[in-house]
Amino acid sequence: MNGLKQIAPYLYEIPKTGAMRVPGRVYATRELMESQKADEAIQQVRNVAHLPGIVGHALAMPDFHWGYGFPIGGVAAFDEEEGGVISPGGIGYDQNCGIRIVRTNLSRADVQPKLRDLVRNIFRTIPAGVGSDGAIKTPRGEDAHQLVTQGAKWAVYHGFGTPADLDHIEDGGLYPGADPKAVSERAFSRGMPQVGTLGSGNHFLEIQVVDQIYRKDVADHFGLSIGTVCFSVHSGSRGFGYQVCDDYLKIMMKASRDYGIELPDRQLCCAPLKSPEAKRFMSAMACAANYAWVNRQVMTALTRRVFAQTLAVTEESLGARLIYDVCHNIAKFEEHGGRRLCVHRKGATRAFGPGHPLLPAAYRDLGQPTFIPGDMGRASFLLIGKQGSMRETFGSTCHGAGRAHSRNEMKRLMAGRNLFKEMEEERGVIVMAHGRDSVAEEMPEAYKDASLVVDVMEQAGVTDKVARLRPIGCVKG
Amino acid sequence: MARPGPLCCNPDMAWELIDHTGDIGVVARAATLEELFAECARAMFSVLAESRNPAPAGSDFFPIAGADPAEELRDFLSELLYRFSAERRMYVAFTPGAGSISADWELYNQERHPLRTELKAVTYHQLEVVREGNGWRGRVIFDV
Repeated sequence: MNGLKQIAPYLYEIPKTGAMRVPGRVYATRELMESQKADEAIQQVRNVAHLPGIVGHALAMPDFHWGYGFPIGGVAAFDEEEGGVISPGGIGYDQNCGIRIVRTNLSRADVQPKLRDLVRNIFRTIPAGVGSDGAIKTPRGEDAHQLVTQGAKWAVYHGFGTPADLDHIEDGGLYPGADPKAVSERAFSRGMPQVGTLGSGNHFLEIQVVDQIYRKDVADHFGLSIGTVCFSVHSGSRGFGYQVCDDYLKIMMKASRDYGIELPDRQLCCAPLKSPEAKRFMSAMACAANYAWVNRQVMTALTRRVFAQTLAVTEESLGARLIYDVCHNIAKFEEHGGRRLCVHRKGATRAFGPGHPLLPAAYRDLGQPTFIPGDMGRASFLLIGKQGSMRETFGSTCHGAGRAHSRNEMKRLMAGRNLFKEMEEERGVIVMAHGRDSVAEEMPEAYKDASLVVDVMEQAGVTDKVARLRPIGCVKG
Repeated sequence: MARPGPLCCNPDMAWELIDHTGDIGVVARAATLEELFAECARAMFSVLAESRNPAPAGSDFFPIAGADPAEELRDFLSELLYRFSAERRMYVAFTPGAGSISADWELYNQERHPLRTELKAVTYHQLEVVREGNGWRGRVIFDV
């Protein structure tokens, strides 16, 4: 297949050819490889392998698919001592797009009679974004600067969530080194009115029920058992992050030329990590990352309130505890094999194994929790990082089911069908959507089966499945 | 602007949407560079939202130099997307002139402009503006 060599049941190698600096690796079974037209995405893995200072392999997780610059599902690590680079195209426009899962004390029986009201109230409370005001008063001036430098803590200070939430967010919900002066006014004016908005595309807020437990020891620790109702929030840095990325792509285009970096795809434009351009980009990206954590934190707090009000219970008795919040579009400096590397994850999730010093104390002996949303009709999975992730994937795992069909294809396939009715009657999921085309584009058929994706990472010794969750209510952007 | 027909294409087939796994692309053809830019803009706004009975409230002027047409096309569309997102300008008509485009807008209103798909950005991926016969062909991919 396209020059690929299968080296394990779950792993393909892309040999080093031409100007590739390292080989590529794709984590996938034959079944997953054959379930999509993978040629363009594999070429993108090859393109990433051309970048200066790349270490080990250019990687693709099993949910990989054709993106721009990096493939979605791409992971690559760069050593600044060897001329390594940072590339906005290795992170994506939606910087620190991520997902969080919140467990509750509720069972399905508690929720089912009021489920339609619950979904409707969330839909009304959490705006999608374009043309609607954010869920909170627009932060301006110094307040906006504090938001992007303090991250999730800013939201908690303003009454959205509790300090305990901060211990259950990757890196405590704060990307250090954020400098508002590195961010354009356009990013602030585009992004600040959107704080507390879901966004469109594949972003969602979903109510789920645990229907299978794989690791009882870990599930008990998270307060999960069969029938536990949870909710998850998938969103990112909205117009703020998109504008930061867009602004810096222009700077990186010039930097690539100035530093003599040959690019197989101009969306991979980059700058050496030691350059002033890279350092300024990282300061701006940190602002976008912090914005994204505020955004998810605000929506989480609002959703807790909606649950409590709709079900006529107190927030305390709801027990809506954040299990974890993960980033899946980000670049971070991390230690791997005794080297300080800048790990790019674009549609991939950090999944450190047990004992890692960056894990919060509550999870240090377990490994990093990672939540993998499936499509809105089948299942999502809570995973836990294993030591294998440190050996195999720079501490990374998949981030979702991965698209198998394009948005246009889906609109053609779904034309004339009553998708809301189908989702409710055939799959038992109440869906509400802000965008007219969102549901057609995001129907379960658009995606690979997430269970096949997470199984690959388990076979590779990277992550273990902890629990499976079935959706029962979904709000799409 | 004539209301676009089905999402796949406009009635005159001057532009069409193309498949890209997670995103959406457009390919357009036109006699002049300015018309090409206008077609791509019409395609982008047809993806973003519907426009019912437009009543323009203002007009913006965009010079087109033509020195690096591909990058200029991306910058033009990116500017429109920024103004849509930050200033809520729903562009409803594009009039190509010599070396410029005039774009009429009305303030975005959820009732009158039902949202179809929010676009995050106009990418450089597979970006292309080339001569084709006596005219121009352009391709651009939007991040969804």
